[in-house]
Amino acid sequence: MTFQQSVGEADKLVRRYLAQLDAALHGVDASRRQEILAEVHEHIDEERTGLDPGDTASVRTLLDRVGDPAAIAAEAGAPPPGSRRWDAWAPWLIIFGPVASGLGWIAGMLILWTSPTWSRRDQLIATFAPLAGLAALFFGLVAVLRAAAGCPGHVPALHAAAGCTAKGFALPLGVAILLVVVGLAAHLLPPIQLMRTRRQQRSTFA
Amino acid sequence: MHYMEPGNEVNWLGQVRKGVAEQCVLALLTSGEKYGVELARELTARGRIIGSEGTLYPLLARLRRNGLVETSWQESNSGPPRRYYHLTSDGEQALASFTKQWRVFRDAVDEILNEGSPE
Repeated sequence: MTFQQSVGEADKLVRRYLAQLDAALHGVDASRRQEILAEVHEHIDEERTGLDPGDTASVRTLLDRVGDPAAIAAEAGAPPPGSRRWDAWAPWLIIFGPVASGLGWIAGMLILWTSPTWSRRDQLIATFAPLAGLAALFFGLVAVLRAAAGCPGHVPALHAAAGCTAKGFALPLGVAILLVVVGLAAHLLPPIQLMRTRRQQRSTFA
Repeated sequence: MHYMEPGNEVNWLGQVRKGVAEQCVLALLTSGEKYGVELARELTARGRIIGSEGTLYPLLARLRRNGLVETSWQESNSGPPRRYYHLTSDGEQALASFTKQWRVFRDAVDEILNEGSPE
């Protein structure tokens, strides 16, 4: 291994450690989280000034002395990982809850908003976007059906099948399909994002 | 939860440490301002007052938020500038009152332990 490579390796160890600490501090208020991260970072830099920058073994020992990110997070008052135990259910309840039973969706919301796994932004998006998506999906499907049947048009048999009424909205087929696609995306993508965030966090806690 | 297990002999020590570590930081700062690495070394070397060096920083964040310590930046000859921690007058008062209470507490515990010992 060349000198540059081992310096890169040592830097990577430090970066990875700080990323783990950042993840462990999830749930601690943002300004305090930044403070602690910055000071632990300074601590590591200070300790490294005396070292050969490419000495990965010493960097490992140093990080070992700084300690388990979970212990630092616990000292900072981060909620224990136990409050994450229902996390896996939240995305599925958000996807199927509104269709299957409203109670399922409410349970999904409870898990989503009490778990420290997700950021406020993720929580807000996963609360509102899937519902809006579902509404768009519903109107989109109706509009597709109506557009396909030529509503409002001149073929009475088709009108009845598509539920055409004399009044009612009509959208061009393309717009209706777009509405379906956007609705489906808004319904599914936020819960999928929740799953991804959860997986990332689990890999840092493992 | 594992840290609440009864009968775990490390448990009581952990709880006591948690309570007194902040006071020990204040005490270490009475002799003058110090930077993080210095404090961490002293606290881990002497009786492992803190579990690992990193746990010092949440503790310092608490002390700072409660107005017991303040920080200032100073140049260092050997590397990047350092963040120094020093006691505020509130910090001095808190330490003085802790020291008084701790001595009374320690004496009471010793007395009870001595009564209980077989000699």
